[in-house]
Amino acid sequence: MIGPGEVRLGVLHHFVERGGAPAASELAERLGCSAGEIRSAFRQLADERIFVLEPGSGELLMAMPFSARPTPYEVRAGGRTWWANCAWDALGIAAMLDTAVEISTRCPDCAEPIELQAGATSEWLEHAVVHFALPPASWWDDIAFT
Amino acid sequence: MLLLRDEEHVERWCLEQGLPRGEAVPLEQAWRLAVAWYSDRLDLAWRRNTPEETEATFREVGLTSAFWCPAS
Repeated sequence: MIGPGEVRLGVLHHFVERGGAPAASELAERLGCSAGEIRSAFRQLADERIFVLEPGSGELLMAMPFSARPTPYEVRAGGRTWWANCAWDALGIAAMLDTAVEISTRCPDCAEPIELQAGATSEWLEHAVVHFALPPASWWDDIAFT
Repeated sequence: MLLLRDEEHVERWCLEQGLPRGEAVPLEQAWRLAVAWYSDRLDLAWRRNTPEETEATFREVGLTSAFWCPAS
């Protein structure tokens, strides 16, 4: 019986390698188990607030720092592209991969593009800030808003 | 968590959205938080932080206001 930790890691490796989320059936094939076991692990990981699932299908919506769907935060490295759930997760992709990445987004206030590099040799934009609208105690009240 | 051009854009965006002002963290500090939070995520042994570990992580990168207290 595969454990949730192995499923969690399998999901992240799939995102890293393929640029997107694995379907449960796809991950089952990769990890040599049944799709039912994968779905059960997905539910456990969602209950533990490690992943977020699509309502209804039970497939992955968020596997932090990655998003399964397009977001305003595009992250690129090594010829691959990912969507991050938020600005912090975009930085998190660089931190997790321990590599330099390029991040493209737009300021939600003025809609002007913001391009930056993150990683070991970052030169940070002088005035740009990551705004945390909610305190940590409230992050999971509505994780999509957070 | 959104990336905005500067504090002025944060103020205007919060006003237009009808949201209370949260905490605006400079990019370099947000990066240090991302490293503390995500650098071990590809370890099989990774697990979620306890509330105490979370608070310690925030404190280590200089996020010490009441906003960052997990119990707040």
